[in-house]
Amino acid sequence: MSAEPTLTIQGLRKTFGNLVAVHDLSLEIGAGEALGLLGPNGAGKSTVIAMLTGALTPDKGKINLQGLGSPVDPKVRALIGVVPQNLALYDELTPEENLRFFGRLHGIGGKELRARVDWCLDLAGLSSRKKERVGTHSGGMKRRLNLACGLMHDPKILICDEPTVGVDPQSRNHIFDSIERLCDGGTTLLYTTHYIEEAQRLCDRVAIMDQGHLLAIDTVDALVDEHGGDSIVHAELKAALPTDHQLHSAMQGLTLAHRTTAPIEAVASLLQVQDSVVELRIDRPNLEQVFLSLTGRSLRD
Amino acid sequence: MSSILILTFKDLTLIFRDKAGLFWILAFPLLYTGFFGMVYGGAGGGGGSSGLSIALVDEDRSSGSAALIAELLANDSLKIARQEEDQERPALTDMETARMLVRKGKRVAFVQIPPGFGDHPFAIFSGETTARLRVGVDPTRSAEAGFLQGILTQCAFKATFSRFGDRDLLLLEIKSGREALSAQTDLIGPQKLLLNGLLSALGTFVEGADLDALALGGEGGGMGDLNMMEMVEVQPDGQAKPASAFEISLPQGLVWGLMGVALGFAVSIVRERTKGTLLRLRTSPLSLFQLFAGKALACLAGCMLTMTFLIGVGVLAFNVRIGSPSLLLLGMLATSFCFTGIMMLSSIMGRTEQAVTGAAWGAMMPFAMVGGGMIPLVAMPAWLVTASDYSPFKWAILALEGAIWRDFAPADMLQPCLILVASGLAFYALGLLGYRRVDA
Repeated sequence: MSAEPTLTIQGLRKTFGNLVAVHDLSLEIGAGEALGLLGPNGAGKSTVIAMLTGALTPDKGKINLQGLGSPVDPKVRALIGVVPQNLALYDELTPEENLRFFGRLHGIGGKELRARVDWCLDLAGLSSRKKERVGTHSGGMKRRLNLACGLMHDPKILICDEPTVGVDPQSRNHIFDSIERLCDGGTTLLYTTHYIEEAQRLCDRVAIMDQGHLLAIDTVDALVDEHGGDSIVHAELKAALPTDHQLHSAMQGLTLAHRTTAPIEAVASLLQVQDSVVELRIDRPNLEQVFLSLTGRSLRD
Repeated sequence: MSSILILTFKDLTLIFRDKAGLFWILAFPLLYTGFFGMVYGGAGGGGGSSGLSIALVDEDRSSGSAALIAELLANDSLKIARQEEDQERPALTDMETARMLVRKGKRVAFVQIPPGFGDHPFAIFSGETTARLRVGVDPTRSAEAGFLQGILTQCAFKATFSRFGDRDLLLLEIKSGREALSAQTDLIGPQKLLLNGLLSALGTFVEGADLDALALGGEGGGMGDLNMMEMVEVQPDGQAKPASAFEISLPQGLVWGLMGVALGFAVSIVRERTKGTLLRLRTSPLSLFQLFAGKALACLAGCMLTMTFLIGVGVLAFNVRIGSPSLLLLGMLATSFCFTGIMMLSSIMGRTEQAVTGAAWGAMMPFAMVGGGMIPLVAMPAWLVTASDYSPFKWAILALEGAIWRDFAPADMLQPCLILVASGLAFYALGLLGYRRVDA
């Protein structure tokens, strides 16, 4: 993370009637960093995004983008590219017309506009279908175009709100590849999802939210180390372990299932006395266990 | 401004690419105009009656005027209102009312029978009558003025001939003539003597003749212009008649088309919200003012384009005549402004497209029906005309009719246009306030 954060959020709070959607949220995202906002439906992720994009006014707290101020200022908003959860496209327009429209709204014109449109069409893999109305496209194509529209003005920070909902695996991979290219190019990413594998693949750090609260924020490994609990060493053996072996008590017949914070050491000790291992596997905890540990329930409950 | 125009162009593209929406915006109003134009009377003229309706003013109240009125009532080419209690007797009126009826287009003409008309029934032959009929014709029906004059002349002569059967009246006229002759100073003695003898012989003839046979005389045809009537001017007061029923049904069709446009844009605002494009737009450097200004300008332009197309078809296909193109432009602008406000207000009537469509149609239909969208303003009973004052549709139709066929002067256009603009502003402000509530 660089010294100057791209996005700073301090004490952000939003209520709808009696419902507190976001409780005093504070975090920073560094330049070029990819931060995942992980949480189940209703966690407050979309509300945070609405405030970050200036669509909602926080009841309390501050948002600062690149030290320029709040996204209420149109100039500050111009730094943001947003990929909404819904397919925010005009079905009656073609992909090219959609891109041109959003580009022109950001003041892009002439050759630059044509170049950006071509680049975005290429990114979305829609160059060959740029003249067909979006309404005739598949869900996956629309998802890719949805991402491309958020990139038309070459934003400094890209905010993706669950951009792969209902997408086929091929389009999902296409979107992941596109986002990884952008991150490699230095674009800052805020990515909300309730898919653990997406957060693990794309994000440098993950913030876990539930019921409007920020429960934890760190790298995936650090979160797992701190909140994920023990790893489990699974093994199938040809013969029983000696009774004095430290893992003997974890055996059930010829099957081993051993919980430990040091799985590598456990495997090493196993291999020292047993050279006829049929199968060996280490189950490390992931963000699902982290979320379970933090909230007491599964991410998809 | 360029951002607003970009939004406007996008919204216009979207609305005119929606084929189902286009049916309600363009096709339905044309079907309405054509169908109801035929129902109201088609191209056969705005009168729609079998005779020329005239208002009668009898200021003479003599047997002579009664004879004329009887002839007018008997004439099939004329349509004269009858008394409610006695359908055989005409509903006479005073001069002021008669003139108003013609100015309002409710009668083609008035016929005023002045005092003294019946005093000298045969004076019309001399061309020196001082009590001439006064006739005022609706200036928009000037083509029928000559026809009406012919009918009136015919009736006047028939009434006069019918009085040849009145022996006492003839003898009285002869006596009056002899008295006038004796008082005459321009004639010399032999001339007076000759004429006096002639009148005496005429008196003897009248006393012994079969007057009933005499009264059956001519029809009055070919008598020529005997200066028996005077044509008086009737100033139009902006209540001219449409040249065809399509000029009534076209403004109605236009407001239905505008309802389609307003609703289309109202739904588009909700769709922007539900689909997420609004979030994308609000993330752009545009202000909320620019966003809604773009939507408003698109709706305004959509209304203008729709009306231009429909009026163009009306002129070419239905032979609608535009009384004042410049005032029509003013009326179109004011109407578009009002429907832009209606669009904004409609957009907050629900959170989904279905809810907005249902609620907006439900809310607009009563106003459209009361305001002249179903029953033409010219055919409304008085109570409905009063009720229609509270409907913006009435003022929209009036502004359009005023420029198309009502011959409104600029001052006449002021009231409906100001009401439309004020309503549009109020609706728009309410819509914006409501949007903030929905968006919160």
